[in-house]
Amino acid sequence: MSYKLMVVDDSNIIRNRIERSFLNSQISVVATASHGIEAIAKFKEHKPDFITMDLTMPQMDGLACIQGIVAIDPKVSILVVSALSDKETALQALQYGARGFICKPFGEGQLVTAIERLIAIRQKRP
Amino acid sequence: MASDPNKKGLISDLLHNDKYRLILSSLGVLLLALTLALIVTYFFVSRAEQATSRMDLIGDFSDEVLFITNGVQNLSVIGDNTQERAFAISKLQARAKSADELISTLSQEKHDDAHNHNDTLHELEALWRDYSDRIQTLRPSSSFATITALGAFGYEQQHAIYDGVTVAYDDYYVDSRQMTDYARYTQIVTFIGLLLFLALFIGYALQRMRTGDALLEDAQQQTSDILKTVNEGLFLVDQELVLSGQYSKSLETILDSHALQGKRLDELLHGAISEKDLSATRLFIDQLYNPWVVEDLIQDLNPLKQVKVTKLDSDGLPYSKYLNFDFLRVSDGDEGDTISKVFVSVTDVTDAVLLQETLTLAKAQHERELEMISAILTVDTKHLLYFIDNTAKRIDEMNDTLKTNTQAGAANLNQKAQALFREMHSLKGDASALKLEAFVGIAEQQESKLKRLLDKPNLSGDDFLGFTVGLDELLELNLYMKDLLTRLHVLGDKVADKNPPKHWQTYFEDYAQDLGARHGKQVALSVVGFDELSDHPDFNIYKDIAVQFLKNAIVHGIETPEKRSINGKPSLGQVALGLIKKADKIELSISDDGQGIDWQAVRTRAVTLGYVSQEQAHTLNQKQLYALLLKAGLSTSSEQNEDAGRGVGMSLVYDLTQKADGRLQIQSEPNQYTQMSVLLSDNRQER
Repeated sequence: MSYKLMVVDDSNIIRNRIERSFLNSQISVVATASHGIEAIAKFKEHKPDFITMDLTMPQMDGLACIQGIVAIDPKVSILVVSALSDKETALQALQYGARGFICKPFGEGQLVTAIERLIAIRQKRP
Repeated sequence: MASDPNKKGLISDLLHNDKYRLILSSLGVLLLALTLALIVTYFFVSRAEQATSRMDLIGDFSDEVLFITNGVQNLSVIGDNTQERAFAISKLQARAKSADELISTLSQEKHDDAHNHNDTLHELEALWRDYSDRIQTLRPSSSFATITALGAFGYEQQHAIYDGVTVAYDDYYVDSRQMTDYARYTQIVTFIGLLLFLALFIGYALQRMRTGDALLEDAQQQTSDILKTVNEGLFLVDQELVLSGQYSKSLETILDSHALQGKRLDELLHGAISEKDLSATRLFIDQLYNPWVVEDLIQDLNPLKQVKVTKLDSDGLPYSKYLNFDFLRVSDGDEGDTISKVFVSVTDVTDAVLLQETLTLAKAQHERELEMISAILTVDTKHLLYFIDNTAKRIDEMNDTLKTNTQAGAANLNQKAQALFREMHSLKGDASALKLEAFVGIAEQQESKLKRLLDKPNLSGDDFLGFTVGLDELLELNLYMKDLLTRLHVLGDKVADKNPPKHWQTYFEDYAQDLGARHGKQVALSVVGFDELSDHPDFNIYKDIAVQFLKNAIVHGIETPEKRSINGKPSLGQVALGLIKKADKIELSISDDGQGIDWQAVRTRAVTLGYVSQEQAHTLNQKQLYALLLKAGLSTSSEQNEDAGRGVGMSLVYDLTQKADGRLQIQSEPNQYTQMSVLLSDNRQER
């Protein structure tokens, strides 16, 4: 089974890195966004199963974006990918419906493993 | 693992358990035995009833025979061929038929018990058939003799039959009694069996319960032994952060609290960690109970990983330790998908953290050492010695300032803080010129401390405590550098050489390059004089002013290369610094071809700082503007860094000029130049 992933991060380098991580996997990156507003628009268009979400972004930050997306589809699996400067904000993101957290900088394998864990949870609780 | 009874059915579930299987099968056996007892009882009772009904039949038969015998005898008194006789005979014959049926019913019953009913009944039947056959031969016309003979025969037969009936009746009676007795025995046996079973059952159950209790007690004892001996603080918390009943003994020591059962984790940590960490802890544990969140993927967010915990000891004095909390979900349910508790393990990692800190400190020390060695290798040793000497003097001076001025009072203390600030700022300038970052770092921290004091409305003597500590640190660093120089054997004869250092040109040129690099400016500095006056007793003051001058010129005066080219200037800015003896005066001057003094920025800043009102700012004359420029705290720099932003540079220049009985002159033309000079009288040489 193939899964759709959307990458949300204001850094072009990070977006490319995340995309590269999933080149040889069952997950295909269907969309990328550099801020919250773009992310919500692309979410509606592509309906991805998984999202990697940065927290600090211009225009609309990750917290607001998570709230917006979860309001559209509460079943979407969001993985927060952010620097560990503020644990409380990351915990807040989980409170709003994100399902995991990966600290920047991350290893490529680390990200794939994290998404696989989210897939396992999805399969266990359809 | 316990399973869900709703899903698989109670019985099949119980059968999977040995203990319950035994109970259920013994109940099955009991039920079977009871059914059997019921069947046996029913058998005996029905046999008894059968015997009783036979007794009734045989009684009826006996009555019929007696009636017939009496009827035959009565025939003799009824006349021949009369209708009455015919009627009596037909009645007798009908009764005889009825007796026939009774006896044949009785004799046809098969019996397999010990009593020989059949023989008796067959004898009775034979006796009766003989008699009955004769009765059936009777006719209304039968002779008197026939009737009399039949009467006599009947009388005999009736006696024989009666004897047989008595025997059979007794047999049936015995039979019935026996069956009733058997039924009763069966009931008694069943009842006793039931009692025995109950006794056994209860005994067994009690035994099992006792074994179970012993096992449970043993398990509890083992758990309690483990919890007593283990070094970690172990406990379970529910979603409301309440601690469960069992926890390890060490937890009380680690958290310095007792009777923790039922207490809330956040209440136990309240006041000991920051409110931010506390609220993060609540969020974190809440998320551990969220089944959609992946446990492994949030461990990085644990706010209690190596957390500093500060508590008060019995004397009310604060003490700190570092604790490491690890959180793990405890799952329940068939698929392990119900999170029932969160297991927490706490360890005191103070030793490890302190060791880490010591290592970090040693690393910092090592880096500082390298930095100093690099300074020693690249900077003129004379200048370094001069710096060390000068810094020691400055620290002494600052200590004196701290000690004097014993009269409290906010105004005095504020002046004291300003004096300390100027001294520290000069020290920072010296260190910065020699790229001694460790000194610059501490000096900046000290400046920040003083800045806070200056902003404080009611200063008290105790407020300077933090500054004193920092001053000791600086003194230590200074001694350390001196020691390092000695150890590197670079001092040698240079220490003996009491002459002040020369090569001030290089000193200022290096500093100018350094400042330029830090602020993105390209600067060409020309230096005149200095070396010739380096043994002047006020040289230190001249040099301090020169450092501030240079900083001002490069940070505020010279523009960035981009800005310069827009304004049609060459990208390389020109700065000239000079210390020249002119007759009985000494002149210290600096000029730059930069943007000039931004008077509008001075006005705006003065309004922001509340020195003048918005209206006053517009009407300020040149003299008033110069006064503002020299006022402490006024900086036009938008950001604060190593070289600018404290608003102390020009005020320091002014103070130093006053100290050396000098006169300060400033000239500036927008977008063209700034020139500053201090004219100092040389008559201080004799002091």
